[in-house]
Amino acid sequence: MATFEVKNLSLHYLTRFGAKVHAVSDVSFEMNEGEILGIAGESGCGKTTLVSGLMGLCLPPLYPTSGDVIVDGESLMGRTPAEIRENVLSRKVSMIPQGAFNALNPTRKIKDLAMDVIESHEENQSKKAMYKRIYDRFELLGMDTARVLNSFPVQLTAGERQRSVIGISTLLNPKMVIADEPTSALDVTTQKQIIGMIFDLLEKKVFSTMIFITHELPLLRHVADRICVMYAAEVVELGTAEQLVFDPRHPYTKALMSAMLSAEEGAKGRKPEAIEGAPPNLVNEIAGCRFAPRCKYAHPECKVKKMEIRIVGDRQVRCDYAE
Amino acid sequence: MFKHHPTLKFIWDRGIWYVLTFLVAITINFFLPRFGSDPIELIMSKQKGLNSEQAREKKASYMREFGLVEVLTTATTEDGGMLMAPDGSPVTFEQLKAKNLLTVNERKTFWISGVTVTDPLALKLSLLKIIANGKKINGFDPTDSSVINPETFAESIKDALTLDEIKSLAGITFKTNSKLVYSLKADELSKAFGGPVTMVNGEEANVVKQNGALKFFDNGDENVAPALIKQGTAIDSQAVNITVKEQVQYALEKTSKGVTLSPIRSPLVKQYLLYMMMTLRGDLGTSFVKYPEKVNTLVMQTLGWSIGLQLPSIVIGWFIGNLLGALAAYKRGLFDKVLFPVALFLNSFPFFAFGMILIYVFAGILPIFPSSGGYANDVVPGFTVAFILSVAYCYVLPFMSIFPIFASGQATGMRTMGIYELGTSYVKYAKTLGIKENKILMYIFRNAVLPQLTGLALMLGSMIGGALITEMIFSYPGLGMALLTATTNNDYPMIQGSSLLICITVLIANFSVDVLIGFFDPRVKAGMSGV
Repeated sequence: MATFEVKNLSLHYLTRFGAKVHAVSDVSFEMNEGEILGIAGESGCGKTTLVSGLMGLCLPPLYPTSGDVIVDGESLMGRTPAEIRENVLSRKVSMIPQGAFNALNPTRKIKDLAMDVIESHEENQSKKAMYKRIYDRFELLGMDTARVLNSFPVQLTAGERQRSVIGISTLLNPKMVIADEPTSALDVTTQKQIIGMIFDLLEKKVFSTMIFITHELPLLRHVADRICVMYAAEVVELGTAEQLVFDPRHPYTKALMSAMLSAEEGAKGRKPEAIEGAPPNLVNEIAGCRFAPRCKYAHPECKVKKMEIRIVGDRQVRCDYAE
Repeated sequence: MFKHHPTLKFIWDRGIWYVLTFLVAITINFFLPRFGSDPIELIMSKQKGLNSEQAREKKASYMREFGLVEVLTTATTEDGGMLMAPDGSPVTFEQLKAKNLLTVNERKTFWISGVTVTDPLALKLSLLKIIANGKKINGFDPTDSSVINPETFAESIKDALTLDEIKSLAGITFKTNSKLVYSLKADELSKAFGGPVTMVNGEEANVVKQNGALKFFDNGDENVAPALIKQGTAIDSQAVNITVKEQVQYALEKTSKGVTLSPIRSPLVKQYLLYMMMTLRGDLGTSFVKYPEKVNTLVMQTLGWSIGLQLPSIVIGWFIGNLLGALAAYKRGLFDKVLFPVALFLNSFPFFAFGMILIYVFAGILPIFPSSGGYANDVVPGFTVAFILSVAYCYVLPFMSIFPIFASGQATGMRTMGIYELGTSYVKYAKTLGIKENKILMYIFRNAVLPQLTGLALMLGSMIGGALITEMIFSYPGLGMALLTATTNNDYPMIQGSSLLICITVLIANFSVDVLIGFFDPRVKAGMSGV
């Protein structure tokens, strides 16, 4: 049985005027222990909303429409926020946020924040025992532990803050870690360090199952076992990392790959191919394929016929014409 | 400096600027009254019914209090005349001493200027002891157990007892003065000064020809000095009796009537230094209008009222305002929709206008509360129930005119800060970590309250001068009212003193905030230590 299972998950935002924005629709995938899934897609395609859904943390104005998320055989949907907080967050599913600097409370020492996490989930812990636990975990991360724990976030370097965030997020050994664009807006050197750090933690068995969200497809090839590409709230293609990067089938994945800049030979002067047009407005019901208006290979019937996920070989593609 | 103590260095770096600002404030305070019309002329024009001698004395004392003139220990005749050297400068006591013109006369005069009986029984016992030694005291009969009258008693023991005997009396406190008498020879005087020494008295100037005595006052009580000079006993009726007195420096001017003495103004730089020294010593000068009351005492009397009015409104307003603001930010919904516009409306309301409306409604239309004063006219200030009740009753309207406005200001500020903090990344992250709601609320409150704390400290600093207009509207006997009275009466030292006091408290509050915020906020602290 899969450790983590997403079944036809749909989520929507309710606007002030009563309109529904279907930010995630009909997303399904399953993951086994020790697997790393990459989720890629343009800005606004629903990646971050999906993260909230995956954690079961649907706070207004976000509401679940249908579907379910099952972690370790337990369903997350239809449970009260208090239950989710108590039993799911940090324990089962944990998140590594984007931008570790702002994620840490500026007026709280790292150890106090970490203790708050433990206290919030486990009762009657002595301060000493908690500190010992935190200390050991941070030691494992290879930090100047005593100094870092007794520092305020401002006193730490960017790398130390990132490590601290990872340390705090994985403190209660969650089954699943979701890294939400941990490398966005960072320079390549820092990106490399963070990827290195995540691999380090995987090696040290701090956590094993991970969802890595980014809008940089090539990066995922180095990290993920499988990649899931999202477009306009839907999964358009799901397959192994090699397949998606070197042999994309869905026109959107293809377009995404050719829009990437790479360091290969003869790249000079080659124009990256931007995808014409803009993603659809998710407030309206969309009749046909969501990518059809921008698709180079679109058939006339694409605009009217709703595309369903198809299994092509060992991958899933949401395009009837993909081979 | 303080290279190895970042905290001390931080305090020093900030502090030096505050000290500079303070000096600038004193300077401005010094120069402002010196622009425009002369405060001394203004105040003198309001004095009525003084002869030229008294007017001169009065003017001199005003000038002296205002730091306009230099003060010298001059040789002065008993009735206020002065000795002037041939070059026109006043003869000082130091000069006489330096020129060896004084020979100490053996006779010492001693008198008591004030008597307070603290323990009548002890006094009686010690008096009886002296009487047993064969002394006789007028007005005191050991067989009569009636109460000793301090006024006549002072007179009677002065004549009957020696200084040591008086000092040995128990159960009584004295204000005593004594004087040492020197003799002075007129011919030596003119020899020493290389010409005739003139004695100027009123509008006459006469050369000193007769010998005299110089009485040196050992003054135990500075407030009674002018009166004491008149009590001096002449040693030689033929002689010019000269007393030593701290006096302003006069210049001799010839007028159509004769001569007149006018105080010599010090140069501006000297005045400035005098004022600076005085202020740094904590002496705010003497009030013109309530002469010879010191500004310090007058200000202290009003300060309690001002603080009593402002401190509770600020502290209670801060707590209630922040609580409401935090609740509004957290709960939103109807509570916020009602509270926020009301708070915004009150906050933008000038509090003096609000005070006037309160007076109109609660003292005019519905005469429930008194419209002015700190307590009712028919009660005597003191620690009595009636007085306290009266104060509390008069307190309601002024308090209500400040408190809601201040609280609503805090509430709007806290609400905005709270909403901002709620949307920050660290709150979102804390939520994804599953940290308990009340802990997250504590994070938000802790971080949102930091700028509010700054506001509180600043308000406490400006507390003294903060409700000036409110006090004026309600005729509340605080500093604001005192300042208003001083302004209408041209009481310059009082105006200067009060405004300087307000300035100092604001500076101290700012400085404390500057330093304390570094200890409360780790972000500032990190910047401070250069990490």
